[in-house]
Amino acid sequence: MKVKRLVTEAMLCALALILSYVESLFPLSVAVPGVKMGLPNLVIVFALYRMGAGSAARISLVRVAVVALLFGNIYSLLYSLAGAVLSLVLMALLKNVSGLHTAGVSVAGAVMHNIAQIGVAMIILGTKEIIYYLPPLLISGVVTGVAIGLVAALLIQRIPEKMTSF
Amino acid sequence: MNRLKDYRKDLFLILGILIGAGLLAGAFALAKKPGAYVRVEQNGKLLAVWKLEEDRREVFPSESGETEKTEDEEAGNVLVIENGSVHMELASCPDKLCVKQGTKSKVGETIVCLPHKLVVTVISAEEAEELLP
Repeated sequence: MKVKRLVTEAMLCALALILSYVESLFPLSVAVPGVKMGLPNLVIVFALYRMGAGSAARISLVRVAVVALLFGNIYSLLYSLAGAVLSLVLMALLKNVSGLHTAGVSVAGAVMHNIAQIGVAMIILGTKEIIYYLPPLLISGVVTGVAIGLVAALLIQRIPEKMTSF
Repeated sequence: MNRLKDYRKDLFLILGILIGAGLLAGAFALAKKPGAYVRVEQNGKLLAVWKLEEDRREVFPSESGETEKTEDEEAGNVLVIENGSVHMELASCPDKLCVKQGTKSKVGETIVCLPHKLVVTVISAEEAEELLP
């Protein structure tokens, strides 16, 4: 791996970490657990489009691990790992669908993230009724996903090409 | 911004998800029946089954046994059953999502406190019979 790619990934990972922290400072006060802005996904979508799925995966996994070490526990690690892996796989697949933009891809990623977390919560808590939280989570995923996707599109367009040419 | 027409596929995807969410919500709402009992579980372990008809106020220490201070007593969560429905009155966790989840009375409705792994579920009389000795 070229040093420049490594350094860029590390920098973006640090950025994603800061966004995770910023997000935790402003919890969206809603009665549904799991509703959040998804700010770190901004970095992941950017990396996915400009640096490829491999870079996005490395950034995402390191972020999840570090967040769990700094702020979380084994359960929060499971939640975010499931969400991060499944949403990135789906986004990487949808990115190749012609006609889909970052908005759609990011929405799919956000929604997949929520579905994965509900799934893990159902397994950890052993309660299938948690699925009742899915509809409001899907809607919040669409709203935050569109916002993140549109901002990501601007970043992908405007951040100089040379930053991500390896 | 590009023309909206270019975003046709994205809009379809979003519309599909929203319709899916609506259908799910509708199906869940239709499937709900008035509940008879409240089941309380912590970390997957059954703690209690109580009648919705009988008013009560119960204190649950958080799972680790630590007794964090809530507003008026030392506890993890304070659960209240009154007027045939259940709600979480107090919680010692920072986000208090379980308190915000409000009042529940239909079968299958839950109050979840993730930090304390406490799950409160409204259940039917049949379900309660299986759990009660």
